[in-house]
Amino acid sequence: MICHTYYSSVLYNLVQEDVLTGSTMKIGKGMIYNLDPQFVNSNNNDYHLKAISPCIDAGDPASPYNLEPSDNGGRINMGAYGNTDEAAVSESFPRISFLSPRKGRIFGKDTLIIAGSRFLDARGNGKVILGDTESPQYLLWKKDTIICITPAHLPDAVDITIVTNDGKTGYAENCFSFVPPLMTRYDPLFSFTS
Amino acid sequence: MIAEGTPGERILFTRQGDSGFWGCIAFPTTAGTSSSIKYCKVEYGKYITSLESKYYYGALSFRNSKVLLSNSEITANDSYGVFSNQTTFNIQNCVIAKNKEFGVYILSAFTSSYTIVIANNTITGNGVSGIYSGARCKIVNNIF
Repeated sequence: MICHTYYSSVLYNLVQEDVLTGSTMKIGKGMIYNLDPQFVNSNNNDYHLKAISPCIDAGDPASPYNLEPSDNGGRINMGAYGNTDEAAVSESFPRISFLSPRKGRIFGKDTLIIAGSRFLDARGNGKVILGDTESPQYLLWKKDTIICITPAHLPDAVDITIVTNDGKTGYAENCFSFVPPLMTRYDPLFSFTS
Repeated sequence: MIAEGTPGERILFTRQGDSGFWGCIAFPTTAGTSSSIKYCKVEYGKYITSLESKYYYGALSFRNSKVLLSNSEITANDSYGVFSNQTTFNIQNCVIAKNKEFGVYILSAFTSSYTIVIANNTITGNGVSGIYSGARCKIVNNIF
């Protein structure tokens, strides 16, 4: 939802639309844009978080989290139930909190940066799957960052799924789009003018 | 005013029957300096067009008061969810959703140097915008 504020500092929030406006607003660290917060059932007004939510353990590291259940990951959740006993608990599977870029060419071969948590220290048999196609090459695999090359894929918005070496799976829905290249129109009437 | 329920027994402010909207809970200048709304649910409210010649736009409306709003749900109201002007207040651990216009609308704080803290809330599905603020705010750990 749009957040329109003045004279404000804004940090460690998830914004489902990449829209933040305000002439003197200071955007700080820890923002998550355009990812589904994964509510349990927003249609039925249940805004608790599913265990796959990117908002789990993604709040300000300086915020207290002692009221969350014991398996709290050592960091507060974003949202209404952060630092309460209703907080969704941390679970040991990978979680995506940042992607760049959000679009790539249908021919693939773009470099994709994925940030998050619980990717484990090394790739091993881990893999990144865009839609139904695995990345053909991995440039970096750390516990909080993966850099890989996008595969070729038909034009579509796709999920990104991460499978870690221990077989745990995490994903972000419809978060990456394969797009055809822009066609440049050649018009001889407007070319080679002097 | 102090309205404090418990996690298991929230205080419900709602309409009578299955349709329509009521007014709002207004905190005018005379509301006192230690108001608290905790573990409450406010739904199907609207606004008041004139109380002490002032407009109260939100289902929860504060003017020149001092309020802590926490652990509450402000949903499905017919105007703003929360409206404030020249108020000292913080909002934390609230669900502010599906209100017809703004989720939270802040005209100004009690003083220009005061920072309103909006922390750990889920503010989503509101008709116009999640937050509009003309005051200095610290907005942290929220989901929009």
